[in-house]
Amino acid sequence: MTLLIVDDSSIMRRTIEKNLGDYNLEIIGTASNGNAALEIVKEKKPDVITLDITMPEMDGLTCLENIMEIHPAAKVMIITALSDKLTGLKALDKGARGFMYKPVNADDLKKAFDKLLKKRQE
Amino acid sequence: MNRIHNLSVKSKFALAILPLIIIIVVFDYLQIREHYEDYKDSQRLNKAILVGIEINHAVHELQKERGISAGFLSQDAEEFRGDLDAQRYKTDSTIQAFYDEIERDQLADLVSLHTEDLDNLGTYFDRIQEIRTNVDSRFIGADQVISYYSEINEVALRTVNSLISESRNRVAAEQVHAIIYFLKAKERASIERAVGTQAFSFGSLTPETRGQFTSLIAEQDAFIDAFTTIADQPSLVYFNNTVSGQDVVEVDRLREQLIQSLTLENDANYWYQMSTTKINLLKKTEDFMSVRIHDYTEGISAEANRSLYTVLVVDSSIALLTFVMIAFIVSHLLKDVETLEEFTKKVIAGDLSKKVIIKTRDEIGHYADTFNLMITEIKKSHLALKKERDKARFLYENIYKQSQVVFENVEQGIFLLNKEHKISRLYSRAMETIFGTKTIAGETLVNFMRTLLIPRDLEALEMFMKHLFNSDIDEDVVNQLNPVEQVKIFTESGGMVNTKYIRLAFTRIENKAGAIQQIMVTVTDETEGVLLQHKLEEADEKKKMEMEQMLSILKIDPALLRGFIVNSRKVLKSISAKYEGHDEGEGFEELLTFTFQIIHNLKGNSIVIGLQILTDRFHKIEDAITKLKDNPKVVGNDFLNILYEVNEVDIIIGNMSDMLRKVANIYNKFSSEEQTDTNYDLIDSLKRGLSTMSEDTGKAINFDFTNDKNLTIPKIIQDPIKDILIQLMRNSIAHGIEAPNVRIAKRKLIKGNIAITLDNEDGSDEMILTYRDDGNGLNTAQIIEKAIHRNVIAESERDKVDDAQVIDLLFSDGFSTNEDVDEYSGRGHGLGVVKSKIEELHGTFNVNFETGQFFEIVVKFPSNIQNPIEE
Repeated sequence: MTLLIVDDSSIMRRTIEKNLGDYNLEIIGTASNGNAALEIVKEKKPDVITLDITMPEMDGLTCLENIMEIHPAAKVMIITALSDKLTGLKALDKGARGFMYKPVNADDLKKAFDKLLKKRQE
Repeated sequence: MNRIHNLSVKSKFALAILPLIIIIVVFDYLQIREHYEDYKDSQRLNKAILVGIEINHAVHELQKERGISAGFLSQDAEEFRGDLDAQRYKTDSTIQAFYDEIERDQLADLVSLHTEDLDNLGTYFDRIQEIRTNVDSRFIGADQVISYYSEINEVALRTVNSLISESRNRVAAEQVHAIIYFLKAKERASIERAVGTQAFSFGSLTPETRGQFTSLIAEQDAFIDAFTTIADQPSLVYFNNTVSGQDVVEVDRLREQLIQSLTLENDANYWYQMSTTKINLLKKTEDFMSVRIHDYTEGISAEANRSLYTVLVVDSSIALLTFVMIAFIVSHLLKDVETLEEFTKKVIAGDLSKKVIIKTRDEIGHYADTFNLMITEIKKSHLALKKERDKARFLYENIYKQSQVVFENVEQGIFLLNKEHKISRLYSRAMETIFGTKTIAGETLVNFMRTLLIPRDLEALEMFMKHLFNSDIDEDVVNQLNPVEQVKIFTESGGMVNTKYIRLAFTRIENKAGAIQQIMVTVTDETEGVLLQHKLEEADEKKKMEMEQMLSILKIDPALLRGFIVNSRKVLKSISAKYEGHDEGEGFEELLTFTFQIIHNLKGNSIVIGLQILTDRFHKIEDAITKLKDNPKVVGNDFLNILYEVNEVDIIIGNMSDMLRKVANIYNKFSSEEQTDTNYDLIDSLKRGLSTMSEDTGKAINFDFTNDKNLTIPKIIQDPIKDILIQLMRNSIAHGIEAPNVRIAKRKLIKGNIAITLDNEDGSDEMILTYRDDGNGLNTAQIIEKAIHRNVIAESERDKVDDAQVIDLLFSDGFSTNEDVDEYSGRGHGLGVVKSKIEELHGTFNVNFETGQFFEIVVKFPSNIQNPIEE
């Protein structure tokens, strides 16, 4: 299974990457903004995508909308520092299937991904 | 067909037997008609025979008259004259009897049927008189007379034939024909008599009459043969017995004589007598037969009549019996049906105690058995249902009621949401208490919360509900985004608006297949908890502050702190004293400057002894005063705010004083050390003040204190001296000692240096305190620029200002070169305060500097001063 990590913070990208090491996920790319993310989605069609909401150039919700248009089968996990519930709900509305608040730790990530991928197998 | 189905059973049965009744009626009708026809026929025949008998009587008499008339004409007239008249009378009376007979009412129908024949016969009878006249006048011959009469008789006999021949009864018809043959034979016998009489009168048969005579005999025999062939046995026996004997044989002998043309031994009269006797015998036989046929037809009539009644009685009986039977069966059947119906009604009314009893073993009887079986089954299931009901009641009593009790008393609001997001009918009583309303059930959750939430949260809630019911999304993921996890709501109860903090939690309820059926929602009123939390936070803050105060005073030397506290309380009181003596008209400028100097000074002291809490407070008050100074329209209330702040600080200091006293008590109890005057506390607090300032500004500074003569500054003036030195150190850090990078560039040691030297002129009470830093010295050009900018000196005097004047500028109140205000500099009061403090100590000072290298101030003050502030 392939994974794309989208976050404007390199620390965050590294954290996710490191903590998902044990998972049977092949990290096929990381992107620091929406446009770069869309390029990778178009090209490689990753199975799973982690997506930040607050990013320069293109915000996460717009990016999510575009991702779902290009690759509707993608399982998108929102990882955000925004505590605003409405934004999170809007993300679910647009097709996200997982949600996490920053900061994330290995345990939270594992739990969230267990849920996301179990759902996928069903 | 439907109409037939809807008929009552009675009508259906009636309809079923209708064809049978019709058949019986038709059959009866045909039978009756048949019998009636027979009856009518026999009646008619009977009547016809009566008429026929009358006609035959007349014919008989006419036959006799013909014979006599022929005799009269053929020989001596006188011999027959008397007979002739008598016979004519007899003939007329029989003809009259015939007319009388047909006039009878009973025969009217028959007569009307044969009017033509009878009328025709009448015309022939009417001719008799004319024939008689011709006979009397001997106008005609005997042959003609015979012919005339024979013609009449022929018509009469034909009439009889037509009257009686139309019988439906074969036996009657045969006998009628037998009579007719017989009559015909008799008629021939009669003619034979007439022809014979004529021949006897002449003595022999004429050639013409011989033929006639023999054919008459032959015809006679033929008719008698025909008669004997069809006549019944009694008639034949009667005929054979009657028409026999001497006279009949005599007629045959006479007949032979005539035919053989033998010598006639007898006269005409004898012949006539003999043949008449024979004819009378024939007549007797005829009468016998007539009576017999009449009796027979009477019998037929009676039988027909009897048959008619028999048929009527039998058929009516059958019909009646059928009707009665069917009525009986139907009523019996209907009675059973009624019994069933009544019973069924009882069952409907709930009475299952009895069984239906129908004794007949027909289909209804079997049905009743089935019905009883059904009742038994119903009873069984009734019993089973009763058990179920009792079980359900038990469950209701023991489980439902218990959960009701739970729902009534649980402190959480609990309810279910269906797929339309509507609140369940059943919800815990706490809901009403929490939300202060009773209109809860049936509302959608979003509508229910509409007045309680801001639009953005409502929108979020609506979206959240949608995702809750979307099984594609994990429940925990959705619940992370619960927008009503904790919300503040305002409810009204009894006219009071209450603020509540509530928490809504959502749990999916799924069926076995994993489809989301409902959402369980729990509502918790967390108001108490949240308020408690707030209180705890407040208490925590207070405790923290007290702790800080405690810790901060523990770090400080008690003597120093006591001095600070005593001094602070004294000067803070002087502020309110000054305010009380203040006149409204004077304006607040002076009062503000006074207050500012005190607060600024106290701030410096608190920094030196390391009382961060108070340093912050004093700084705030300075800020507030600065704001007021910039405002040209200051009123009393504005200053009151400052006083309030000052009072707050006073309270804190009071607290500290209390704490200190407690600590001091402990010290006093456990320590007996002698307290002597030293510089130690002063220098220690200066060191600590410097290290605090040095940390805050990032400028590392070395502190060097030289006291070669081991002089001690008197305790009483230690505080003002400390104030002066602290102010100088603040100034050095703010303006003198450069940032580390600047010092490196100037090839100076990175660490700055502040050196304080305490000395005196030998034998003098005057102490010399030298303060020196290795900073930038004074930037005179910048100071002058500032002074010009502030209009302290005129632009034109720029070049005339010397170093002494620059120093004067610096030490004047309110002058500052620093643009930014921080804890240590920028208010422009620093060196002004130094100057006034030195003056309080009755001291003097002298400033030396070298720009870029150092700044030095030498303060000289008397060591024997008593109390500088009280002066």
